[in-house]
Amino acid sequence: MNRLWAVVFGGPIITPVDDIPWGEELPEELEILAKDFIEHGYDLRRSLQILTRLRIFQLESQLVGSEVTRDHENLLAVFPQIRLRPEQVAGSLLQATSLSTLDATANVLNRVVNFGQQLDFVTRFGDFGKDEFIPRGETVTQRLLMLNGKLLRERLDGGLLAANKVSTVAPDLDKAVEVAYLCCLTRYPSAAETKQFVPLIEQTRGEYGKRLAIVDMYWALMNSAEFNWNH
Amino acid sequence: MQNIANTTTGCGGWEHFSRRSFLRLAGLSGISWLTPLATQLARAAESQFAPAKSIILLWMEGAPSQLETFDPHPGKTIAYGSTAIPTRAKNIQIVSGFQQLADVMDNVSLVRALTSEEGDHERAIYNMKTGYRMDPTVLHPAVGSVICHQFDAMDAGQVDIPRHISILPGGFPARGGYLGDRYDAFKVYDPVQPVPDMESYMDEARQRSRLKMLEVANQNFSAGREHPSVAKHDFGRSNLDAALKMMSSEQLDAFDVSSVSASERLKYGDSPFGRGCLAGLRLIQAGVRCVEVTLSGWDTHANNHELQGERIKILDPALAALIQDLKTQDLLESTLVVCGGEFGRTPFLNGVGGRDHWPHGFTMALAGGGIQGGRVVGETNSDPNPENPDPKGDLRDSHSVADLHSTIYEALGIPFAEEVITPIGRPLKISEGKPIHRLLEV
Repeated sequence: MNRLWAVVFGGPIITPVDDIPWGEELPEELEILAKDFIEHGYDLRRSLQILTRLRIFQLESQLVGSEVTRDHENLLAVFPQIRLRPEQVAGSLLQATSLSTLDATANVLNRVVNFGQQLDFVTRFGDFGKDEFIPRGETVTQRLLMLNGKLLRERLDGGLLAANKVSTVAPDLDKAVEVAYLCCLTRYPSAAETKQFVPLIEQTRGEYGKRLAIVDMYWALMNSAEFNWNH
Repeated sequence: MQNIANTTTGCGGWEHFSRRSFLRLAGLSGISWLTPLATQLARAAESQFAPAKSIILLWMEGAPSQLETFDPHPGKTIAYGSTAIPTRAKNIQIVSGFQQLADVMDNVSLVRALTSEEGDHERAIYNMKTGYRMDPTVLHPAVGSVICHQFDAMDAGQVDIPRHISILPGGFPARGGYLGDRYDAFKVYDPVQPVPDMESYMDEARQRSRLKMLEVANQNFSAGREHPSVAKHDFGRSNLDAALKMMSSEQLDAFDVSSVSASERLKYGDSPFGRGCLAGLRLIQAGVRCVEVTLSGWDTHANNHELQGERIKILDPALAALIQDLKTQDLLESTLVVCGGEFGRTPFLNGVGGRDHWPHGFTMALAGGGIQGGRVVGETNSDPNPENPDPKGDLRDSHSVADLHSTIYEALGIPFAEEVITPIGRPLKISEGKPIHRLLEV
């Protein structure tokens, strides 16, 4: 239950996640969850439903207009900023550069290709394994992989995927920025962000130059902290 | 952050005198932790006593057989036909096949009765690389990570490429543990190939424009947010700077052995491992602190003698040439070379001619970095009883994995007995072993 809590809220109730003290009194919420889990035949689905129905899960996970302190994180007032797992980074890259949803219903050939690309990426990125809830930064290897690596190059500059499509069909640059933000960061850009990105694309020469600049914007968004960190 | 909580006096090393004096002074003057400048001063004071500045770990993953490498027992039952050759070091014999190593053995010392508590590869590798046994509450840093962390202040601005490198990484390359992922070993492969992901595939103008866009994309995410989870956390910004600096650094040439003449290169043997050792030498010249070069394939549960022999053919020229070249270039005094695996192999052959896992007495070879060559510490039994319930009791002058770590740190002048506060608030010594002074005493 400590691990499930960590999956849902970004951090465990007891740290480190797999070191529950034996024979000591545990936090009440952990006791309640564990008791319920046992009483209902170890039904993970039920436990997950309970956690997601809690009021604290449904509250806004960001704090706007005020500085975040350690207490905010400890008291779950904000979602802790933690690294995505390698397969999450790879999966997000593949999805963000694809026009259709990559799930169990996707074309089987597509899924095989994606799986291969994801595996290569994760190998180089380094698998966190069971240490996924240990706070960690990033390695220079991971940064180089994002800047220059094969997956981004193939997915962005390959010509057939979302970034290139958007660059040819978007009616104007404001819309192109908006679609890129939705694809990469699943949110709308702020007015300030649109205002900064549009001139950077506009200053390039010709239609082809603008198309490349839109691809570059995708690259920048995928290299951003917001893309790579859960928040 | 160093965050040294306590300066114990248990270390007692002769190399530490100056640094210890400095630390004591620092303590008296009310400095409770070392600033980078203070660390630098302490290091400068100490450097004349601690010759080692860097380490090359030749990592024999899978566990070599001590009997078919550095601890042969020719003519005894447990040798099962393995023979030995004399070396330039008086009284040291090594297994036949190490012809080139035998010629430089006067630079090498052997710890022959090393013991580990771990008989499983993953756990034993963790133990050997970190000096600690696995613990669910804390991830310990590998020896190279500790060294880089200790020399942080001194190296600032000096080295553009990562200071901790794993060439041909095996299944468990060195990790930064509680010191953080930035101390993980940087992984590279056969040095005939370019370092992965090092070149931008964009032209310069477009790369500039991409980086400008990245700045825009990054500016709002962490605005106003201190990051409580990770100390000194900057959401990868320092790694971006480091990556860009590295991509344009001349020091990258150290990875590339193609500029070395064929005859020089072939001294190390025509193998990825040999080229890795040569790259290791070049990286040390460039200011790298720790290079790990892995040679896998030692896990010989069947057909032991033949398979170990094949590995030795690769290891022998590489190790001998590395020691020779370090010596010729006056780098052997400042570079500690350590060669071995996670444990040894059984003194008894199994039904398919293999030797199984044996943590109860195996060998680690050390050279350079203040290690006096031609010495042997510890002895294994030539005629062990297979039914002995306490095989470690058969050893003379045995040492633990932690002792080996303390010896390495002692050679580098690192105050290993000091406690470091780990991220979960638990104080831990850098190493809990006792250094093997006989290897270091002149």
